[in-house]
Amino acid sequence: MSNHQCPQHSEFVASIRNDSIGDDIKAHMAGCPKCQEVAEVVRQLAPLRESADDAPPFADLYRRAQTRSILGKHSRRSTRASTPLRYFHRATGAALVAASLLLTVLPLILKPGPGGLLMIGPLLALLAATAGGILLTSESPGIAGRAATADVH
Amino acid sequence: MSECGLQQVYESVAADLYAYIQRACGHPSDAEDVFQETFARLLGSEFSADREIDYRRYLFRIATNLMRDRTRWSRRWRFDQMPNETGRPPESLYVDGIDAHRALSEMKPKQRKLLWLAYVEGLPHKDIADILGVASTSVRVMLARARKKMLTHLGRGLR
Repeated sequence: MSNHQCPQHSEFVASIRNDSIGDDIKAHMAGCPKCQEVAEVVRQLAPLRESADDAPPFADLYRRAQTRSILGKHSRRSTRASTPLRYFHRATGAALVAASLLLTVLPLILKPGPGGLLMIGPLLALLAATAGGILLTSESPGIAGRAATADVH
Repeated sequence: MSECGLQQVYESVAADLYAYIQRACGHPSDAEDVFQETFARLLGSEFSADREIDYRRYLFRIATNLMRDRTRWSRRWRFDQMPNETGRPPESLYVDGIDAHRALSEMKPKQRKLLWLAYVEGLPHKDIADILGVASTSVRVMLARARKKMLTHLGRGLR
């Protein structure tokens, strides 16, 4: 049997580390290669625990953690504040794409004569589609969005 | 979590957690950052427990995940391949020339964590599995491999 997998694992490890192994476990270990392995590893690792550096002081840790927490809150507030702008941004893009489709289809429906005013339709459609595509694919809320969220930082 | 509550958790867990991070991290400069970040996550979380052991498990799990993320990041950018100014690992990686430290640092990060959690912290397999995010049943096999590897590194393989 290997003691290191039994419910008393923690006690077994602690007893090896403190060199306070009972006679029964010593007798068991003499004939159990697995337990010998465990004991050897525990003995090797123990000095590494003892020689570890001291943890950074609590005051520093708390101050930094608090700063991080405040920055995290600001970042979340900033994201929330810019959400309506992002939706508006996308809606504008979608409207422009829709308008471009309309301008493309409208001349065909109205059957314009050569050189008519409606010939500018395809040109406007192209411009609207380009602008809409840029707005739809861009993630930034733009200058207005950045200005609106600047105050929360 | 209040400052007082965090201080209580810090006093009961900090020394063990920092030792774990230092040895498992591989990069001493990263240890303080990971430690700091671990407590910052606890402070920013909604986690609450009655027992100290639950905080201990929670913090060890956060630290393990943070170290894993850092390892992936450094692997991606190959920072772990870059020598430092002297072309040698920092002196603080070696503790009074103890072979065990070198043996440990030559092992895979997961094996380092496994050995530390099992044989320094003395945690049961279930808790180790929870902290490392692996199946409880595989901890036993992974530990056996890690032990053998460490003893091989130390030139003390048992027959």
